[in-house]
Amino acid sequence: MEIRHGLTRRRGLTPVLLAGLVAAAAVGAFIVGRAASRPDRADAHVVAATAAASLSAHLEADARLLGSVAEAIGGDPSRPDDELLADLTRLSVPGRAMGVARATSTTAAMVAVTVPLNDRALARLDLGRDPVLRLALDLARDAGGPEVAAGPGADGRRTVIEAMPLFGTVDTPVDVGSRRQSLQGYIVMVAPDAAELGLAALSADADLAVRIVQGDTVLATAGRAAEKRAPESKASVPVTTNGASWTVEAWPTGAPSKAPIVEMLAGLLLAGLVGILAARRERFIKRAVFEAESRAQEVSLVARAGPLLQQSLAVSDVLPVFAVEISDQLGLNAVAIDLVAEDGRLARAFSLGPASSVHMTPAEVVTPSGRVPAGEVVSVPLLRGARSVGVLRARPVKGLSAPQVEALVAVCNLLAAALGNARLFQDEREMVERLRGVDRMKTRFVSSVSHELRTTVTAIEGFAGLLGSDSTSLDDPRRDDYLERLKRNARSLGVLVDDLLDFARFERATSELALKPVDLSHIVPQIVDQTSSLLADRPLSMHIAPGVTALADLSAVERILVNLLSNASKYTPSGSALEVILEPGDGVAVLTVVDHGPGIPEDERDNVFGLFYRVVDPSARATRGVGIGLALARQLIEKLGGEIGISETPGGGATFRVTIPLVNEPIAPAPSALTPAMDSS
Amino acid sequence: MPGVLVVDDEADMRLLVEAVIQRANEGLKVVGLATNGAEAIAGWRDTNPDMILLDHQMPDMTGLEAAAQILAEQPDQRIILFSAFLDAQIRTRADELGIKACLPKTDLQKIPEALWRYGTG
Repeated sequence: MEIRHGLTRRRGLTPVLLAGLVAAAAVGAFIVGRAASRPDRADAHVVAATAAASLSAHLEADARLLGSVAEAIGGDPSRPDDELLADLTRLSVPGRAMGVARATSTTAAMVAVTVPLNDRALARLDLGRDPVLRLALDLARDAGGPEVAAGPGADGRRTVIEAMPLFGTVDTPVDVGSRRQSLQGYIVMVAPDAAELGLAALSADADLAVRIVQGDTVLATAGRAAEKRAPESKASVPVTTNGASWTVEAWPTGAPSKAPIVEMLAGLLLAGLVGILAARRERFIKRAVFEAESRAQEVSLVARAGPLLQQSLAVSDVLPVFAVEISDQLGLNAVAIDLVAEDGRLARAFSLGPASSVHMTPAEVVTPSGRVPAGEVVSVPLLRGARSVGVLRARPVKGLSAPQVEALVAVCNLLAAALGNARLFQDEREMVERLRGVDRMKTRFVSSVSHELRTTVTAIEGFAGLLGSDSTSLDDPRRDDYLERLKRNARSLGVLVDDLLDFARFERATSELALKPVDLSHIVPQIVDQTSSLLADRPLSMHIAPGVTALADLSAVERILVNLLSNASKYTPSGSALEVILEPGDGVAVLTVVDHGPGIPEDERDNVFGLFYRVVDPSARATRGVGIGLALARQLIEKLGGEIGISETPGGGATFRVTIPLVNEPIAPAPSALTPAMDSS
Repeated sequence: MPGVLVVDDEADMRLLVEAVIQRANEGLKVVGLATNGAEAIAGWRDTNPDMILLDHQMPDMTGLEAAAQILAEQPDQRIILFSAFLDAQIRTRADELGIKACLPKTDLQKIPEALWRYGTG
């Protein structure tokens, strides 16, 4: 992760520590040297240069600190006060006031949050009120970097304030125009005072006056005569860091020390103190930088994962992209995502690299906290509200810091939300598909029924018309033919209407079956005889075993047999032979209807009993029928405790075999309700 | 005498249409009968009818599909679609193809009139 605003992790002697040590050494050397001789103008030059170097180093270090804080809060001053305060408290250097200002208009920037709380220099300060501060803020905004300026603080006293602009995003906008447009506020910090700069050390003795000035304005002083007018011969060293346009001035004052040994010891002591202070400050900054980097990584990971998860609503698309992204960002060599299946167990949905399976229930996986050692597997529950939708398991190559684990948990929460959305979308899609299926079925049904009714009615009307008007001109064979056709169509219409009525009152009809002994050997030939007009010129032979009595419902048996014969006549060519066989079986009556038509392909044999189902073969589809008869037949048979099956007739054709329990045989439990045939076309 | 090719997969309907045309005795003559789309195309080539009375729902192809093939070869062939189920979609497609008229099967008795109106001239 690249840290913007020039903030980088450093090793060994850092500029701040170096500057501190140089300052310490310089101050020490100066005081030691001065103990031996009176200060002169050359000494003043050394002091001014040293103080200027220390000041520059401080300002640069402060700029980096401001940058890291800006990074950590995501460049966004509009976040809640308590969050901003928590970040400031974590990252700030003790004793140095720092705050977040929100740009409330083009000319006002109000400090909203400060550490220490209600700092007297910063709290509720409108940075835009003072023209000098205002100019510095505008320069910072346009440059996209830190600026420093002196102006009245909240308590009215002159305060040197360093400011870093905030644009609402981690990245600084690339041009001045967009910086002006997107400015949201500033991170501000009170500049180091004379003591921190080491000037105080110089003022331990009154031999030199040191001060920092901006034009005619004195910003900081040290030494007894520093408040007074400086002599012409003073040493001056300019400081231009972070937009400052300052000068460090120094000149000799007073009399030489009477106690050089004491001065020497004091100098060494002070040098040591300055060094210790610099080292402590370095530790604070290092910690702040580490925190900022971790937060920046978290922000970056969440910022990258969010859009990735929104790219698709298909789980199979989302998981691989997500796994690759977090592997890259967190250095993982194995990622596995298990999702909670319908039975409540975890099932592997995706894995990257070797990953063992989870031997826990989703509820047993708790959200991790704290660091994870290298090579150890961490399990994160995917939580949507209080409900677990899965578990993500990951193995980091180099381990994970606590903030990295927090980042992982944060993106896992995003993943859980995305998975929830994907599941909802999938449910919606399935519902739409089901409704489409029902709609297709309805269209097919309406089309079939219309075609059947109209064709049959037209034929009846047509033949009746011919017979009525042309009766004298018709010869006998032709009249008989017309009459036969008329009767067949009327019968066909009757069957169709019965089917439709049966369908309309299906549930009631099947629940009203009155079971009693039915002599099938007697009734089957009668039904076949009544149905003969449906069969036209198809020869039918019967083989009826005597005395086959089933526990059945008379009207149900009639509907079953009529529908089977009607089906056989519809789907077999003219002149094709049919057979009806009744015989006793193993506790059941076996009624078989054999045809010698085109037969029914094996993979369609179960489907033909579905409601509104029509076989795929186009020649069969053109045949009259709406797909109710066989569905109804099976339902009635099952209600009677029997079964129906289809096999191939030797030599070609379809054989429908129906069993109905004989009297005294126990009846199987009633099966499920009528189910429509779902067409996938 | 204008000749008609009657195409329908239902034997009853072929018989009825033929009988209605003959009984009307209005100078129309059935020159061929076909039971599906392929037979319709073959019969059209053989008999060169003035008009075709074409069923829509047939085993091998729909009436619209058969008409599309015929009209692609001979755009001015006069065709009347005679179907038990005519919805807006079928009528629109028929119009696009250049079919002269769509007649529901319940209007069996109107066939001679429709043939004269849309099938000749």
